[in-house]
Amino acid sequence: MASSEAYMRTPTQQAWRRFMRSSSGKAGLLIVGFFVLLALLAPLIMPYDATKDRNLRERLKPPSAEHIMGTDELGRDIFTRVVHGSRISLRVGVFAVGIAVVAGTFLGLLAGYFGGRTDMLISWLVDIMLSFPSILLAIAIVAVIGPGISNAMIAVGIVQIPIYARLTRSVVLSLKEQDFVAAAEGLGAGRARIIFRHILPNGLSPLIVQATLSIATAILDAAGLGFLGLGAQPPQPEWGLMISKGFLYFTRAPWISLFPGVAIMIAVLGFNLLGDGLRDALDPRTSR
Amino acid sequence: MKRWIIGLLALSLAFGVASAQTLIYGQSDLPKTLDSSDAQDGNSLRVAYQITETLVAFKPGTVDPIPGLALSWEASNNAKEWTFKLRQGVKFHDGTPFNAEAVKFNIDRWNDPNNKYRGNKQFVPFTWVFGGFKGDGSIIDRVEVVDEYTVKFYLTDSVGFFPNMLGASYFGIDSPKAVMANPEKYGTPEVGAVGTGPFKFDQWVIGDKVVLKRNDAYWGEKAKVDTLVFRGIPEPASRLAELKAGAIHIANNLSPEDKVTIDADPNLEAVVQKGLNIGYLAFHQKNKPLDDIRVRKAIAAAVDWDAIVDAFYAGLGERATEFVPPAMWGRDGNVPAYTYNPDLAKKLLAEAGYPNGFETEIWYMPVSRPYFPAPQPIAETIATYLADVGIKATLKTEDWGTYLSDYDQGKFPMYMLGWSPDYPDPDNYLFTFFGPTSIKTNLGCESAACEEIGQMLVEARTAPDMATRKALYAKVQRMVHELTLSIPVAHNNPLHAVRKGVSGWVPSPLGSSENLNLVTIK
Repeated sequence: MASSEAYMRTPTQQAWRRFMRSSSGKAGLLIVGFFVLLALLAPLIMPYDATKDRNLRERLKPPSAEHIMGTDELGRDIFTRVVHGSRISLRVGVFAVGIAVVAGTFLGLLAGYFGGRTDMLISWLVDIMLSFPSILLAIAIVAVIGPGISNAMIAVGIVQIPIYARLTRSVVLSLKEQDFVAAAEGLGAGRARIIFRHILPNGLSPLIVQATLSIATAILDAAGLGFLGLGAQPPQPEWGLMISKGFLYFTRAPWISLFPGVAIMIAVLGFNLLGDGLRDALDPRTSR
Repeated sequence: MKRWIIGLLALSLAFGVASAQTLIYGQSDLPKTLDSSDAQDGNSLRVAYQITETLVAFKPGTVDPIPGLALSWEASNNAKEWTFKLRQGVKFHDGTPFNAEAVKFNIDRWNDPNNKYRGNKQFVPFTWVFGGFKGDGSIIDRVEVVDEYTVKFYLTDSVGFFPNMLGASYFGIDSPKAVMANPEKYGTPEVGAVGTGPFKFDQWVIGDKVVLKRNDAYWGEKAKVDTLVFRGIPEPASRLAELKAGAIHIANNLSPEDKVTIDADPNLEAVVQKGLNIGYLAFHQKNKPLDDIRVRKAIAAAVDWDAIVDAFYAGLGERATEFVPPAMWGRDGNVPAYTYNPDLAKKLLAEAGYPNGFETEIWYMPVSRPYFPAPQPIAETIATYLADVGIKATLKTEDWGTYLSDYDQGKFPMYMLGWSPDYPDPDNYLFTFFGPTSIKTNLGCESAACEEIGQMLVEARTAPDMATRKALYAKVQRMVHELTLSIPVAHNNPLHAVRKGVSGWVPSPLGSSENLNLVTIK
């Protein structure tokens, strides 16, 4: 009965059903949805200007009814800053992965479809980049282009390019031998049309899954750069930066570092769970 | 019976450990060099000071000059000639005898820009103290060997506090033989340094530690420990954590706000030092619109400096009004503090043509310093006050070594910096900040008034009587205030801590001249 029902549904409906059956997917969607809402609504519910925020009389206050996450070394409300930090982290995550997906997929398509020298060249590049630990490569890139949140975003994006290049290449290699590609070729379709209209759309699902998982990595890497003083600069309420600043006061006021740390953890967990759920949904081979 | 033997074994082991004691000192960084006259930071000088000694020393914990490698000194010809009698029978760690020739070798190496043993080093601190190199501003004309243990300095002008200058920790006397063997690499991790001090250089593991061993042939009080290790731990919180864990014995320059934590820990003891330092915010006038006095005054009025000192010094520091601290002579005493008045700031900005403010940068040091225990939060706070009056100040920092070589290049519009004196004289503060060269390079001021300040400091340096010097220093500080060349923020009494059982450690008001040979571990 299940199979006849499945036969009636569109692929999207099937995927959605599979997604809703995955509990990690639902949890991930809930968490990510929460952070996205938070990021979108933050400026409306609690407008915040980090460049003017200070309250020296209220410094280093522990969590209380008034400041539910306590205050930091400048007397700023940590809750407000954590909420506004979600805007920075999500933006960094999405943009960095955007850079990686666009550039990586393009390289992967070229390598996979044309093969030969193009493939060799691109694969070498990818292998070289993958031989560096990602955070180390990001640090090196930031060292060259200078610290700052946009540069950190670019660095984290560049670091992830090889993942997509490699993934897309493998997908293209298997797709280009398929009959529908041969049919398109037989009908005289141009290379660009074949690559972008026939191969790419059919290879999207692993890319979507990977992108979701990469957002988690990107958020973590950007926070790492912020912690090292190479990413977001003070007074921006970036989570990694907040953790490193709280370090100076860790024995007296651990909450300064604790709450941004928890925020990073939950956000990263959210994207990882969502990625898992999407894999269950989009990859029929792994579905039960 | 068996247990008895094990007990004895453990006991002997304990004694074995006790008889080879290691003192571990945690400071914010490893040295940059051990060639003391080429070192610009306390972390380098503190280590170098254990190896090489100065002619004039200071009584531990004070600024009173006492004999170092020189036993006595006297001035003649109106303080233009100084004769130093040297300590006899002292040997460098490499066996070279310490004598007048060795002193002359060292001074010539620093003073003469053509000396062949300089090893391409800049010796910048030498120019801070003595005004330049030979023939180009240096007050030292030449050094003469009178006999084996007598050396005579001929100065270009009278300087009454010349011995104090030689006591600055930069001027550790190095073994001529060791310097000649490798002038370029002398002081680097590879070569180390060779002096007459209570400790000998053993090894320097880059990025990890510097290890010194006791000099058993030391002329003075021999070190109580066998090995002295310096470690660089950038964050004050990590230094405190390592001290708590027992990984280090001394942690210097801790965050004042951790005093509570230290007092509450039965294994630790807080050491509050009487400080002679000054932390300030400088303007570099090569950056517009900071060359406009109204803009500088606006910035001074826009920030609540009292609130900053209250918040970040935890009661250990005091608001600075002048650049010479209250415990030192040479102050005007009546220079008012800049008062918090954002309305005045806005008015001044409007008059200067910036009613909506402007964009600029504040540079802060990446490491905690005695005078700025929490540089980044202080910089952030200053920026929020500036934002209140419309000035958008971006916060910037860079590696501390680079910072120190960049601040006088005009690259930093506003920068936080500070000073712990090298020798106890107002000259060491004011000449360093506002001397004829510094006022141009460090502050970018080339106006007639700045020229005048520079000249007054040269005059004060060579003035024969105290009253004249005092009057000149007071006038300089009034002018600096009126011109708002730079904003004095705080004098801090730095907080340090030791493990219980560590005794004899006296931090120096001069920053790095610590006598670690006197420290014992129980």
